[in-house]
Amino acid sequence: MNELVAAPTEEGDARHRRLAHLGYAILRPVLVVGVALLIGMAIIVYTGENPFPAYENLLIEPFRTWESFSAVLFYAIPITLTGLTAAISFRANVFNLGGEGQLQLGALATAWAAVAWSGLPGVVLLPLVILVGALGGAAFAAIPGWLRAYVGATELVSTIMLNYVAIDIASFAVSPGGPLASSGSAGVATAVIPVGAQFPTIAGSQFHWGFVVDILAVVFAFVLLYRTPLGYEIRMAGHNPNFARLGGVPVPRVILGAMVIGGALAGIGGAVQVMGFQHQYTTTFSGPQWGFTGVTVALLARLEPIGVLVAAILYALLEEGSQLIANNTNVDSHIITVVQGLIILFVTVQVTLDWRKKLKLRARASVA
Amino acid sequence: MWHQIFNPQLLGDAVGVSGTVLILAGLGYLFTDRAGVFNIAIEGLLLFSAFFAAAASGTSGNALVGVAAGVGGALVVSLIFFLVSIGLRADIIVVGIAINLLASGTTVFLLNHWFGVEGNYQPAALQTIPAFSIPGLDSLPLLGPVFTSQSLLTYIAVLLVPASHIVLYQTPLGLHIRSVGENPEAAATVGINVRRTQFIAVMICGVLAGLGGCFLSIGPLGGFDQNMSAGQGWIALAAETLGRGTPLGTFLSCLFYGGSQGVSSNMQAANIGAGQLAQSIPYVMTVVGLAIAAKGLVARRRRPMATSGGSEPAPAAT
Repeated sequence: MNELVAAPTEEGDARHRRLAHLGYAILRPVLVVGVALLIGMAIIVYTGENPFPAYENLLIEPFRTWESFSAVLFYAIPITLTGLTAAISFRANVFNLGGEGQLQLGALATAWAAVAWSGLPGVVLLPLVILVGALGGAAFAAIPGWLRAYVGATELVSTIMLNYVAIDIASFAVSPGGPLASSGSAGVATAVIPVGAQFPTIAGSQFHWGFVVDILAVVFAFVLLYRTPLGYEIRMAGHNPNFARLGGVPVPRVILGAMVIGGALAGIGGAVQVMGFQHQYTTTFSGPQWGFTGVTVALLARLEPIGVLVAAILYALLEEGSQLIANNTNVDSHIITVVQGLIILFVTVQVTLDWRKKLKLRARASVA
Repeated sequence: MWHQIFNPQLLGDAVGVSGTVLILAGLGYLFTDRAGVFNIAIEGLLLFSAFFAAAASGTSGNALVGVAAGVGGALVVSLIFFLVSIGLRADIIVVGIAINLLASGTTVFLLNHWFGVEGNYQPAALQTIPAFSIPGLDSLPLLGPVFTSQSLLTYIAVLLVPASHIVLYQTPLGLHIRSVGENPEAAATVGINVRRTQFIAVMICGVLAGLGGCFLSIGPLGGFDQNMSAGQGWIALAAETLGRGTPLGTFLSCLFYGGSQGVSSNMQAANIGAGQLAQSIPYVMTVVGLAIAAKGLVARRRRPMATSGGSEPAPAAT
């Protein structure tokens, strides 16, 4: 998994390397998406449509109106958080594919807390319910984390299985007769959360102040990974678990830590979405399955926190673009799902090419 | 209440309607696992082959064409998996994740592009794989339902269990697969072509998982649903782990998981407990089974999964 992280070149000082690393993290997603879009263009030509109006809608139209551009930013909000979830755990060589379930239960917990404590003033309630969402996600991530760290059960399978369990639990809770179902309308949802726990929208769009939480989370993840002992241990455990163990890193605890922190971020993702948009938990609130989108985004960003933000916005651009394509052209907007699939396949191939290049560099160094 | 949940049909369902996919996919994963290839793309293979089987059977009206297309599709995807992960040496887990994500998006796209439908495809022309009873055996006490109006693929899946055992333990190919999985360097030293053996294992897995996908869409159901694999590829992977990587053990674990799916549907049908919670039983049981397998209550075998590493040592990053 280490080879997913952009390799620092051997020449240049540490600062230079860090900058190159960052540049990599931001530029790469753009490149990968570009190539995937070119292939998407070829597929549109194959289906007998003109690709240019479609691409105008995908790449230019979103920047023309605030309505579209704000929608892009709006889509990026939950994806950034689930992207960080995957990035942090993958960095520890732990494959948390359970972002979806953690997001769902985080959202449910937040909706429950906001309704239960609706008497509290907004200034207390708002941070409090975000915290509850984080706890919900973290608690649910702790199960597969503990099973992996201390029992040895692979998290790949258990996180996927628990996604289904999470959705079943949540849908039980909000179905008619369930403990958290709204007493009012017949819909499958919790009651609407009080205004004090809602994020105000910005300039009459869907985009809301929840983005501040995103920025804080990106900074948090960056500081965690590069400026704290736990972050160092996470990177060590991911790099070479045996060496880390010999070096005194408590690997099981680090694995559990990476899972729980990631789960908390996914839970916050669910919380922010509920607080900024639906204002209640509904079983369909994670339409495009943001938990899984987060995995793609993290890989695209090569597990760099700041790259995650860039990749999330790029991915959100595709989401909004596919809406515009569907509305304004004859092109089948499902093409975008294929482009999204290609993106992730390219990421894996690109990882390989990097590794090849590194080998060549090393061979040259040994000859010299 | 109990007789509704554990009805006489349960064993028949555990082998048939709920278990067949797991048995086929589990045996498929077994071959790759024993060859040291950590193939987590099973879920995507199931979905791809289910789609192509339904598409081909729906347009041709012939189940055999459907099976050919389903297995063919799974083989192509397996080839891509092999080329990228073993050939180019990309991280095998990431390639697996990529194929699973790709399967979900591509099948939805093709469904819409070819047939103009969203999410669900059930053409009238679609022919399903025939189902029949085995005279004599179907009236056995207790075991009767196992032989009563089951899909041809169910009988094939059960027969593939001893067949896999023989291939794995009685043939040169099986010996090569096991040697490569145990210790690739040693296998190479005695002249076994590691790449070729792993390639064969991945292709065998493609055929078996392909059959599993066919059962999903043109087995008892007769139609394709968006994301219809619903985690069964992952459950199959867990079944192989719980079954200690042996065909018989995998088969028994699949019966256990298939049975828990049967229990879950029986509970939902009889309205026992909350429907949504009953629905999660198979997934919870999978996690429990994994934990038991890992804890070594089941005899321990060296498992690449436990460390979640790929089969190949990850190339050291500078």
